[in-house]
Amino acid sequence: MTGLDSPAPALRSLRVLDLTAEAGSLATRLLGGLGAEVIRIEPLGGHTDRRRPPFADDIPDPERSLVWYQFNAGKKSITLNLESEDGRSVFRRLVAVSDVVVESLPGGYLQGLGLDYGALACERPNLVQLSISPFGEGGPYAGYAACDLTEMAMGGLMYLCGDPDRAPVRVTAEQAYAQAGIQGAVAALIAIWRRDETGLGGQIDFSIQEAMLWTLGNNRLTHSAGGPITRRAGGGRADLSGGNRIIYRAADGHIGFLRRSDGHIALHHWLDDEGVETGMIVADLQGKPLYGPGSASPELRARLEEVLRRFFEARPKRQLVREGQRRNLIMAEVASPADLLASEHLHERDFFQTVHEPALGRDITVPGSPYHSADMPWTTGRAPRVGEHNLEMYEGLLGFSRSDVITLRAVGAV
Amino acid sequence: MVASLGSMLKGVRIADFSWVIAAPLATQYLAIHGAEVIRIESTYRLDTLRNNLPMVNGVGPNNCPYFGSYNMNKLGVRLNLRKLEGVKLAKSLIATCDVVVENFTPGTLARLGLSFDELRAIRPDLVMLSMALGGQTGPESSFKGFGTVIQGAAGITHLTGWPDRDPVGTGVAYTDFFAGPLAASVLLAALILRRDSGRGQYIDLSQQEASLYALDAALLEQAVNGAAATRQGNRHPAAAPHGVYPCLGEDRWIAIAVFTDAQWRGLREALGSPAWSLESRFSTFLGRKKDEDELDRRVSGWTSERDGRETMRLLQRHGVAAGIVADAGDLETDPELAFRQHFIALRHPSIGTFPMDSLPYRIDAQQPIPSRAAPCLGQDNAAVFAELLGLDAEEYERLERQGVFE
Repeated sequence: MTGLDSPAPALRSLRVLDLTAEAGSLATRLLGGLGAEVIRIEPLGGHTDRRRPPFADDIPDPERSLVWYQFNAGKKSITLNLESEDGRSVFRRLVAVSDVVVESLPGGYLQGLGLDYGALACERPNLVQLSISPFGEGGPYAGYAACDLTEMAMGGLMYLCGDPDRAPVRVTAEQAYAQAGIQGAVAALIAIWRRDETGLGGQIDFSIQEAMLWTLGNNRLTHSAGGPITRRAGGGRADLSGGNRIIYRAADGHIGFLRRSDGHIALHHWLDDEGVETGMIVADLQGKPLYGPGSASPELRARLEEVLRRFFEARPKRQLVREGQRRNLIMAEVASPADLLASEHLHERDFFQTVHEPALGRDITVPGSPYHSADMPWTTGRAPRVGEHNLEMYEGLLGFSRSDVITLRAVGAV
Repeated sequence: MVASLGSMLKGVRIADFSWVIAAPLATQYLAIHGAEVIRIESTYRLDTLRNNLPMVNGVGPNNCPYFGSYNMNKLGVRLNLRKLEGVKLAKSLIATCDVVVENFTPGTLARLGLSFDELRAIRPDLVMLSMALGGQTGPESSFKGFGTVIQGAAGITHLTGWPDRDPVGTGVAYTDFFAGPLAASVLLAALILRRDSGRGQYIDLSQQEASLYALDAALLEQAVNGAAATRQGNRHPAAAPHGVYPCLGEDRWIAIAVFTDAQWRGLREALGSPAWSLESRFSTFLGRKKDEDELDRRVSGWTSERDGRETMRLLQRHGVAAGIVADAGDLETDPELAFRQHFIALRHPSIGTFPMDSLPYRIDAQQPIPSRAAPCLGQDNAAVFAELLGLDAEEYERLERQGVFE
């Protein structure tokens, strides 16, 4: 125990080398947010993620990628050419003074450079390395080309998403990569805990496909238990509920409403209070199953759906959600990014933060801490410019002289 | 070395008052690695997952492997917190614990006399993690919900579906599967901080806020550019084709993505280089993007007469990212998952042997394998209250008669 008296970032003594591509950069973002010093290792011209749209003010520039900003906030950046002998030698020296390497490079790439875990562990015997790949090491798919789309497909989540009359659909935010990030971070921290307790490092072989199987709820289980294969249900839950709708239109957008058998009296009162002519006694459905044996007749169910459709469509979403929640109904806004940025709830909780972005010459609003704790601050910060921390790392951390750094640069190593 | 993966977190004890998915999933990772996680349940407030589908080997609170999915390797006790003696026992238990996890509606534990301040008085270095849907404060903190609906409040629903249609969201309780693992990392960090500093802490984690980290740059696009990111079906700004195409069979599909010229040439060869594919307008990415609708129709025409798995293999031989849109049956027979031994046949006292998901990683080529299936309701009352807390038989029976263990 060091007897810290004031709040401190939890992982402040951890140094992480970040060799992630698209998958996994959320893992290092989390470790960085929790206080680790994360050093992004970029090729000499800058990382390919810097080319990813959208760009600030729609000006395509490696220092203006908003994807880069999002996943690299608070990280440091050095440029290093791993394909040169001098670059690899510098990398080994970096590993010797680091705790964790996180990589999602193409399979075999690091091995091909002589930088496999065994070699790196010679530099740092208790190194923790998180290697994220689409299918993990080995097996029939090991050499398969993959991307977020195919990983979401092969991991089973995509089959459950989308309108029934069209193809299954992805999320327009990369959830296979995101799952690799959040579940990969857990694995890395568990390995760090063991390292601190026992001195034993380790190599983590992480499969994105396997990670996706943890997002399926009861859908795979249902089939393994002899049940049917569940399918996408559009604005409903992909389950056996016979298309029970969840997403409804409101006057200014959409809401989610999970109608449950115990909510019908409340629903009845609400419709009544608003003077809605339903042509049925909604409260009679209280306690009855929503579908299947014992449920209301299909005609009655269809009538209620029509009543709800009209009722919701005529009212603004925020008002519906507040009133529905007040009446103990399970209801939420379908929030757009603009709604989220304007959310009173998120503002009262200080979720959004401001950082100065020198590349833009102005302050920008960024997502803040995903948790609140007075004792464990989250690091927000801004994303680094290409090689912004070269001198700090090469001179300060590794002890190269300025002339060494100039030479390394001249030969294309850094 | 297998045993060592199951004891990496040995010595960490967690009183887990959580339920449904997000919070039990957070502690699931820790439990599989050897943390002693004690689920505190009550007949009066049965975890909705105990009463969910599928039911295996009968119908009852101990027959649902859905509950089992997030509670492997955990101990389970039944304790009635509506009884004063129940709260007293909970406190005695917490006094021996490193962590308390809960996802009650904000204020519930405080009303029971189990607020963080009260618990810290009996366990000064306690780490307590609350993970309510919208957090402990703010105008929406009293909102109720499940991940199927809360994904809307987290922006995920808005980003899922077709640009010309209403949003659909994922077909699952997605925020649970995002906030859960994220909370596990936060909890591990808090344990590391406690070990280094001796200090516990209270963590107010909002499932909504945590899940906002699933949106890629959508929030920044709005904040910086004032532009509204929205759902794009299966399209991607830097790939064409990038979509999901029909295959032979009922509701069978394949996902195909072409990012580079080399992948385009691979796709063309796999297609047998038909005349349309050789047209010059398709030779550049900008050209492919411009005529992406037609490209999609052409590719669909080709895939729709073919078997999904065979087409995937053919495209992969040509270096094209392609994968079947796996349904539950495909996953059960997936050769890669089989190679990785992803499904673990875990024996449960009521369910019997059932295939459960293993964690998505290996450490030094070893697989973390849970040693025990999820607990039946109240299965470990004796182990926890008698052995751990030292309640003698007479006292246990007295409390049991009062309904403290219901």
